[in-house]
Amino acid sequence: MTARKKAKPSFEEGVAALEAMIAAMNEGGLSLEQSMKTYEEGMALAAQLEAMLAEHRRRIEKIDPDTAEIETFEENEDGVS
Amino acid sequence: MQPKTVANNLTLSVSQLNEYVRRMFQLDPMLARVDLKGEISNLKFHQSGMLFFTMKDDQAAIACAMSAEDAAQLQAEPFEGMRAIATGSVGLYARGGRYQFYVRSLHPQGMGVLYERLMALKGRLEAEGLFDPAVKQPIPAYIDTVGVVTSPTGAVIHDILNVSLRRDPQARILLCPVRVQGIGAAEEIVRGIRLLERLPAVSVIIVARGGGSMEDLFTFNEESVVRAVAGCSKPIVSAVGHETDVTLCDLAADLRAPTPSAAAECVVPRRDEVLSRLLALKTLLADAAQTRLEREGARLSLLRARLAAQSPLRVVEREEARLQGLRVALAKAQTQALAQREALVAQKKRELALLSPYAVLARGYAIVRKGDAVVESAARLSAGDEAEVQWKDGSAKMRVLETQRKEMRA
Repeated sequence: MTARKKAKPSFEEGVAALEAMIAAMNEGGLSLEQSMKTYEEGMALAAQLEAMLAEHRRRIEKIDPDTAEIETFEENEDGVS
Repeated sequence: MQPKTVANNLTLSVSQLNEYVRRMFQLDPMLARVDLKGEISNLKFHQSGMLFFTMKDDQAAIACAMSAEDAAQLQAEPFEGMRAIATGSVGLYARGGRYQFYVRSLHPQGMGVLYERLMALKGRLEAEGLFDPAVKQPIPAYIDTVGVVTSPTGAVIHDILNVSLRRDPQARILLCPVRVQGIGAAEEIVRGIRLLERLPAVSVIIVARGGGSMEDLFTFNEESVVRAVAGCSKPIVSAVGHETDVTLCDLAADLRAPTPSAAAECVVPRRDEVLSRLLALKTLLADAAQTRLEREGARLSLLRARLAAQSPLRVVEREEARLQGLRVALAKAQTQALAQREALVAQKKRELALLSPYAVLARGYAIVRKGDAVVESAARLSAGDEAEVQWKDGSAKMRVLETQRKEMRA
């Protein structure tokens, strides 16, 4: 639960890549084959991003400053000081 | 010489003496509650949370101690050279035989001093480039987890959660709970920032505190906090105090939000906007591909047309068409020629018919034959010959009775 790192690109990087693909296709510098490949890759990436969004589930947590352990945070669980 | 002991004198142990003096201090109502004015020096934060320092003025000094419990209530962390009024009591520290001042609370004397110190720090950090707009990181358009460094109780975290979940019901918030004022608060905040910035899932950090007096917000002017914010490797948003309060933490952050709610607004992208942006990107991508395909298609058909015009096949077609034309013309000519000839034959037949010997039969004449031969002269017949006479409507066989010859004129 503590480690949440993944090698896959972040959502933001994915969107940036998608935008770059569209720009490249519109520029017209690509061969038709490259262009179609880019399209396929772009659509796959978009699907991946949608999946990322879909699996982005609400997580309200707190991290223990001493142990770095992460647990669910409920408001006012610590009581009012 | 032996020192003389005076008669009636009591001999006390060290403990007894210290205890006696301690009681004397306790009994003095004046010493039970003193507001002591002076400057703080020799400041020591003990592990246990206790605070030790010296209060001094131009001529004198007194050792001061503050319990961990009382120190935790301090609004602003004391510093070397701070002028303050310490409220507490005078007592004896029996073990060391020292008298000292037990501080219950500590109030910075005159905000002017604090302010001067703040301005000096600001100038120093500014010169270092900690507030330089050029080094500020943009707030990402899409995020994974929002790290929040603030108190786990109260309106601040409540507002941040509220706004975040309103914008994205699936938002991820990771709170690092800290004290936001008092001794040790700065250290906790620094630790919280460092902890959160190391987590890969954390895309952006909010450092927040609700409104309060200038002393309340002082933690967010502490050099250690300001440096941690400025040096944070992830984008960091500061929302400290009310809109009108500006702390050095605000200046050092990548973005200053007027309130914790505003910080959440700035940091958490609206889920529906993200979704529609993604949809728009997909449409753009599909359009780009479609456009490309159409363009290539158009180019291809243009090429095909040009190629077809150059094709040997086209020459053959052209020749074939010509040939076909000739064929038609020939057929037509043939038909015409035939018709002409038929007409000629009919004409000749009519002409011939006019010359036919049979034509005279129609006028009432008859033809005489003997055997197969036509008898064109009476000399050919003799009495007793059989002959056939043909009329236009039939014939009759006859026997020659006699012949007569007509005299031929010359």
